[in-house]
Amino acid sequence: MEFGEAQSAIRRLRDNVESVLLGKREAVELALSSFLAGGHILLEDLPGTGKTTLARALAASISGSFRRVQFTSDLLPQDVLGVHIFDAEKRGFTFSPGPLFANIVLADEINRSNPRAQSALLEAMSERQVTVDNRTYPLPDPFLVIATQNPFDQHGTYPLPESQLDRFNLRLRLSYPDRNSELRLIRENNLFTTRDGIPPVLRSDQVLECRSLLNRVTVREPVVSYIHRIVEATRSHPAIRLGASPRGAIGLKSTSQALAFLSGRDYVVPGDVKKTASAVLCHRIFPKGSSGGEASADAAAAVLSEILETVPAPV
Amino acid sequence: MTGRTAASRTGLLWWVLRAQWAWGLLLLALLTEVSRAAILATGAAFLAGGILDRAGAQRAGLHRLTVPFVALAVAASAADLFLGSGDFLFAVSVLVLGVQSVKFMLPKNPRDGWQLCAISFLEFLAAAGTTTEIQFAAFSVVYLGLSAGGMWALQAWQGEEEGDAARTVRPRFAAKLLLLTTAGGILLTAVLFAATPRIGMGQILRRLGRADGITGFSDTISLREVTAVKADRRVVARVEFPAMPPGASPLSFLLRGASYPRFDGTAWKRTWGGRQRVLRSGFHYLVSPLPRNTRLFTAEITLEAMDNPALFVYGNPVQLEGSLGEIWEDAAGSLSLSQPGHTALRYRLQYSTEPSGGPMDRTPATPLDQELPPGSDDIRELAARVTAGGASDAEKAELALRHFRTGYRYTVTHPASSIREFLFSSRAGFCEHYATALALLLRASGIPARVAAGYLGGEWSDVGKYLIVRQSDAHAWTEARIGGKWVTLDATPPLGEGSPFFARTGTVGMYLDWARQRWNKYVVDYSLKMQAETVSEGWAAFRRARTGILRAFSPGGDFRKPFWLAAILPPAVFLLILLRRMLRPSSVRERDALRARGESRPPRPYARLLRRLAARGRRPSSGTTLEEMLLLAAREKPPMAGGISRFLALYHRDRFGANPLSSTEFREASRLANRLGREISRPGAS
Repeated sequence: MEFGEAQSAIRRLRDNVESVLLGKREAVELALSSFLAGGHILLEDLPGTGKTTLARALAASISGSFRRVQFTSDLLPQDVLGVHIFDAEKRGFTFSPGPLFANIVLADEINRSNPRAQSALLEAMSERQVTVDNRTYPLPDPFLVIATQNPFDQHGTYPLPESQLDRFNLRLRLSYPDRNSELRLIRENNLFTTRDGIPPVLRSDQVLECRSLLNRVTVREPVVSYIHRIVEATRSHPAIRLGASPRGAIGLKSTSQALAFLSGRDYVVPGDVKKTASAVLCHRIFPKGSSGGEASADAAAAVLSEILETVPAPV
Repeated sequence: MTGRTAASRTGLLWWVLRAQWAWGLLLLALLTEVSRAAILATGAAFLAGGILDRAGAQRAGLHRLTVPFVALAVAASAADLFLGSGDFLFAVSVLVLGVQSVKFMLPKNPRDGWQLCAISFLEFLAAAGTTTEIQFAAFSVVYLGLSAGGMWALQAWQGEEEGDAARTVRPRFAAKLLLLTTAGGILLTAVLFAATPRIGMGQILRRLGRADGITGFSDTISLREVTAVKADRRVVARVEFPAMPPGASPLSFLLRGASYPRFDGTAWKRTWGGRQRVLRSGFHYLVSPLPRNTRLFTAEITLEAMDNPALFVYGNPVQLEGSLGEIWEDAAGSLSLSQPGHTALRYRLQYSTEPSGGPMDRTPATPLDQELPPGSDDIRELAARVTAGGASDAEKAELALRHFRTGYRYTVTHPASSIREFLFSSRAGFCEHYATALALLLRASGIPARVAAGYLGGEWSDVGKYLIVRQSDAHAWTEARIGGKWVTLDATPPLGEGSPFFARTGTVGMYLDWARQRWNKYVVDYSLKMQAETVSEGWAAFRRARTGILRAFSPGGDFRKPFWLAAILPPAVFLLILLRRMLRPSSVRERDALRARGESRPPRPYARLLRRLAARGRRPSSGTTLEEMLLLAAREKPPMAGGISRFLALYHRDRFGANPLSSTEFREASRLANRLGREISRPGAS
């Protein structure tokens, strides 16, 4: 696939997703960027703001497989990964793949499950493979996990530890749609409406091609050093207990590349970095004195926006 | 007249600029060696251009009219070459000045301004090579250069108003530049005049041909008005004393130029007969045989340009060293060069303070040295009365000298007009009266005597440790042949600070003079030998410093000096660093910050756009990108949006893309940046 061709395909993909997730262009672009860059997404917001819709639309648009796992406190790892079942005809065990074996997996309410199931999922996310009973099964490619969590109710949840949050490339908040979008939403929908009828625009192998093209998006030295300055500022900020990891820096670069690609450019500008920075870094920095949850996330966002203002941008 | 009608303010600025240019030219002309014809020519070109400009003739027609001006300039330069200075460099500079003045009056494009800058610099080179007033040459070039810069800025401004956006200048920049040159020029002039009393009205008058040439030293000494000489603060020589007679003050040294044996009743004259060539070997001259058992002292003399061949020496010269050509010694023991005048000279003199068979002693007294003007009976009578008690020549001379200690008054404003008036009635005069009177008294009592002239003392520069001898230090004294040796006798009462022309140079002036002396010594007259000396001097200084330090830290040594030094130095250095950091312009700071981040400075159009955006408060924090700033601006001025998106695409590709822009694209980006910058700077909503 040529560069221009790929870009127009990706833009079609974006329009496709956006057509069901009204008025969330920025979030859609970021989610798509992360998807292209191969980074998993953590959606964090109130129920009914379109988390599932986004995941489904993305899956439908690339004509890939889509599975959904509802995380509950009694979920076991094998419910996610799959199990070996004795096959009487073959007189041996065969692997029955779990819901993780799909191009796009929606892990709903991930903080409701126990840490065992969480870590099973997170291991699969970073290794892109599943190990069950000493046998390793590769996951399909492209593979994207979209996890959601509701940060507002703390009762009976198991918040994700720092190290596991770091596995997510992006944390997005899909807030309420703006007035016009919501009006349109109310006008056009009823409770039976499903959003599954969107046509696929990309095959999954084309997605892989697009990914290989992403590497050709130029990141000039000033932008690299800008990314480094931002990441370093999160580490030395007095209000921060734990700053962003190198993985976060790499994620910031890759996502910026994807966003630039999505914007029709073959180079990253500082604006791309600024746009992606809060989504990529917010969940990776931990302010002092807050115990996680909503308040902590807000404090992190405030610190990050302060950092983005003070770190000199390349001109 | 294009911009004139549109904006009368611009017209006014133009006239200010032209007046400034004329003033700068005038200064350059008066204080450098450009001839009067050239001044007139350039002045004429200037005036004619001004009148034509005033008349409002068409540019195209005027342009054709420039040819006669050029011809005028050529004529002026030719006149200067053949009738005036005769120097090719002058002639060329005159031509260039003339042509440039024409160009200045009838500028065609902004490039003329830059040409003017370049020409001003060339003028400076020409002036610096010839004038003694090097600060003035430097000042002039700065002044003219800034004027030219102002002109360029104005022109570009005008061009911008006419819609030519190729070269742009920030609004009001030109006006600011002009204001700066005017204020700075006046200030600099004031400072220079205050700091260097050498530049007086007299020089300017002389240049204009209103005053006679003043020389403090000449082939005749007449009892004429010397006020002008005494008031002349021009430097004659600068003398360093690598080896000075112990206990002597250089302020009492007599720098002898020549002696004058022949007196005709009103003036002393030199005798040119019996000249002999001084023995030389290369650049070494043996004036008199090396004396035994006498200490030799050394003086390094830098003589300024002079139109007299006299070679000035201290005491009894023994050896001379320098590139002086042939040196001649006349019957009276005075040294002179072959050529009638010379440019700046530098030579090293070894001399002894005792009479030791040098040229002064070698030359015997001649009948000329005892000759009295006819009808000098009253002088003989006075001499007999004055020297009555003296048995030997020395005692007689002492008595004669003592005669002038009482009853005589030193004055340069109301001196006696003849020697008889000085001796018998008014008894008021200056050094030449004293010297003449003493010489005549000695001759009358049978002692051969003559008058010598040169300079007495000078001003000691503590900054550079050398003696500055000025025209105002000109002096005349008496030499008498006593006991087979020529002895120096000075009847003039020592005046010192009591002299009406005593002047002390300010500290700034001293440093300026020091800089000039160093320049002459180490740049103009530098030689291999001096290099070797510098090394040995440096070594000696090091040894001195070492012994000083050792002494300071030895038991019972003087701790105070090093202690104070140690106490003062670190805070001083710290303050200096602090000051430098504070005074460093923001652009430099920005560049340093960029360099520290491993980024290159944005090209000029982008940097200028950034500056303009920041000036309009569009850069709330350092983290704001150019894109954000522009989008913010576009929100307030929606018509700019199209240009902004086009510019941003180019800018981003240029700064962050894999390959730089092509030259046409970069031109487009620059043009867009300038246009956007102007629109942003323009006050009010669109």
